Amino acid sequence: MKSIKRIYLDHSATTPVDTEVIKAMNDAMENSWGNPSSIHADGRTAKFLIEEARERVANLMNAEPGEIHFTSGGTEADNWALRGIAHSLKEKGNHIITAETEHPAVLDSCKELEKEGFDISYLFTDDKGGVHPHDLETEVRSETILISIMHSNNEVGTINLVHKYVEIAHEAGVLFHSDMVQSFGKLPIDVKQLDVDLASVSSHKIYGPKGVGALYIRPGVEVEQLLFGGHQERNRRGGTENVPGIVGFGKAAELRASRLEEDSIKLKNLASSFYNRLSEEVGGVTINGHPTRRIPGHLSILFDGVDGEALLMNLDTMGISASAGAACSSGAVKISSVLKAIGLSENEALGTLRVSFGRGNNEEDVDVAVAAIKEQVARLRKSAPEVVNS
Amino acid sequence: MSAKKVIMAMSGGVDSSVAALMLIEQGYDVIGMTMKNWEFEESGGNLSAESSCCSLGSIENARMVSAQLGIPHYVFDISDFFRENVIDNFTEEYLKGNTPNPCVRCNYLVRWDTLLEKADSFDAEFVSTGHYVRTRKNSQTGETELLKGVDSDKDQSYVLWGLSQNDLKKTIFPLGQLTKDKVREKAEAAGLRTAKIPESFEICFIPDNDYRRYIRENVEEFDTLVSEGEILDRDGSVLGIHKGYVNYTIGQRKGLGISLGEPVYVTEIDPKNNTIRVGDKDDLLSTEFSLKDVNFISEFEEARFPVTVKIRYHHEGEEAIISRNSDGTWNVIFEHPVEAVTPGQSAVFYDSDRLIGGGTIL
Repeated sequence: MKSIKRIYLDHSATTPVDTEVIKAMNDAMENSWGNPSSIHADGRTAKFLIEEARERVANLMNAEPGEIHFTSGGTEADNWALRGIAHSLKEKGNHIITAETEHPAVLDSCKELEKEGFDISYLFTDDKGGVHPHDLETEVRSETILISIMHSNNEVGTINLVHKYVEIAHEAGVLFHSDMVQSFGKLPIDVKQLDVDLASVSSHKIYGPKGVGALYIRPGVEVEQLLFGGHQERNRRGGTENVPGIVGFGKAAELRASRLEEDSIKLKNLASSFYNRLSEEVGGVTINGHPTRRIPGHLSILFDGVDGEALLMNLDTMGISASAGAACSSGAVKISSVLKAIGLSENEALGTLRVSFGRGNNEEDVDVAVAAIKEQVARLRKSAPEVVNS
Repeated sequence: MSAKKVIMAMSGGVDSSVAALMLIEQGYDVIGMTMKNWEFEESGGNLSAESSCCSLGSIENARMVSAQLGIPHYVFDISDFFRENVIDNFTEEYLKGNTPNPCVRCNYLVRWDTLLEKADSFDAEFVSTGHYVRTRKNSQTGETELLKGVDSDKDQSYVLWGLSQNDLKKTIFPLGQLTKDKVREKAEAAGLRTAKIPESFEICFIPDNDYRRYIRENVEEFDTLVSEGEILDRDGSVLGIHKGYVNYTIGQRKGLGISLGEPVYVTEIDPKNNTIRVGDKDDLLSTEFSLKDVNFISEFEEARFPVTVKIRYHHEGEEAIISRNSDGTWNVIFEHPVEAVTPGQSAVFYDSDRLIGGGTIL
């Protein structure tokens, strides 16, 4: 196998695990393998670690530790929030509002709820991928029991006006959930200030391990259980805790707290120098999503007259990892529904590349990536005037 | 700059895995790709066929063996393109009373076009597949000739008659000189995880190999289009009742539900009158038939010399003269009668080991 130095520009898909996180997880597996529910010392050691992690995760969103419930990831947190609230409040109403640009973890949960008789409204977004508060306001009815709108979009990176939606929700006495997977640890999040009732977060987007996430639940909010079989997570989620995963998540959250500001300046600079150079040296590029209200380091770029899939794969063979459409489609690229939702034509959607910088990147990576893209785009524009797809 | 790039069509089976391995060993820069031709969930039937090309398992195998070989691998969903060109035609042909060969169609209408398009987008000079065939440059004519694979049991040239000179010029067939045993040996020696995957013989989008079920479940209003009808003998007397003409193929002996004391065979399928005709072995013989969609791989002067014509994948081949008809179809006249000429199947012309061309039997 050839070994080329790879440049990773796909941090919105996942991030490399921080070495300090790995150390903490190794230490947990070696020395704190006890069952946190056990009464003995081995159990207590493990229990201490998960409670410490809970504090760290809570701290990064200004929540109380008791409001953090560990899950198997962002997807479970979203499923739990949607299904849990729908089932708890089904006597009160059957209407749920979400947006068409949500992550499949939310959208597919809604589709399942539709089968059970729930009525779901999917809000349109503007051409930047944001939900307009007024659109939400007009959709709220007396039967509405939950509004779920993401904090920032995983494809175009646009940050939503969550605090405004929450105001509308609460004025109508409706609970509000937000999928914060892409924002948590990258943007300052304060659940108290935002006043959300539930929020989903994930570990592997913030240099932590995969397979662990959390659902923030405001005290007093009833959420029907998803997983039965034990008293863990204050009787709300059964199953022996993923101790090393949770420890890793906690460590990652702790590190983010101290690095968030510094990193976000760095990532914004990298992204803007990257985009500026593309505009100058490659040309025919546009940013999808909001020009400024965006996740730091996250860029969804439309290349005129280029098959984004071909660009992505050619970059891959040159050692550069980026993303086209959404990554979660099992290897076969399908046109992103988010890009469709913000009004891109099929060809424009196909011409889109998502580049997301992380704390390990530097200006040198920008140089290499720009040069590679320049080479490939020039060739692809020449050889493929038409994007081929059915 | 670096090594020559090749796009390798990986099916997840042992053949394409070894083909990729050989190209890597020869110093090529190999990029693996697998075409997703159909939706696994939509094929229906009893799905257990791990080996079936394009099943989820085989895409996974292609991915895994590519990782083992250290090459990049991409999956391209071409299911709409494949449906339009192959699957729709497959069911239509059966409804016309024909027995189509979807693999032939796939190769010249879908697979090579897709491969070459990807080669273009990766700036690759060549594409490659794991077919057991060879190519040779004829220095006099400048043409690329397509030759049978050295392993006569495995030769797959029959399904490639629709390819063009441009297709062949850009294709490397690494397995043409090898026997299947040798290929398995190589796979095992290299520890490839696909070494022991069994051979697949079924049509990729019908993994349970039950084409009758597939047509029944996938043709709209099947019950109004296909119903019971009469089985006739050569003189038109009714011998029994058939279960819908799409359930029969020319030459079929079993499952006719009639017993006359001597074996009878399906000799004709007539969808218009909803009848099938049966006869004895002699009634299956014919010496002449015509062809449509004819393609010549090598420049071909209207035949004055006999060629060997294969009318089925496993047919030995028979000497024949072929000539063009005024309407663009071609005529095949055999020296000796052949058995069960089946409309929809391919007739392929050879000059010894060299494939000259082929067409679809009318």
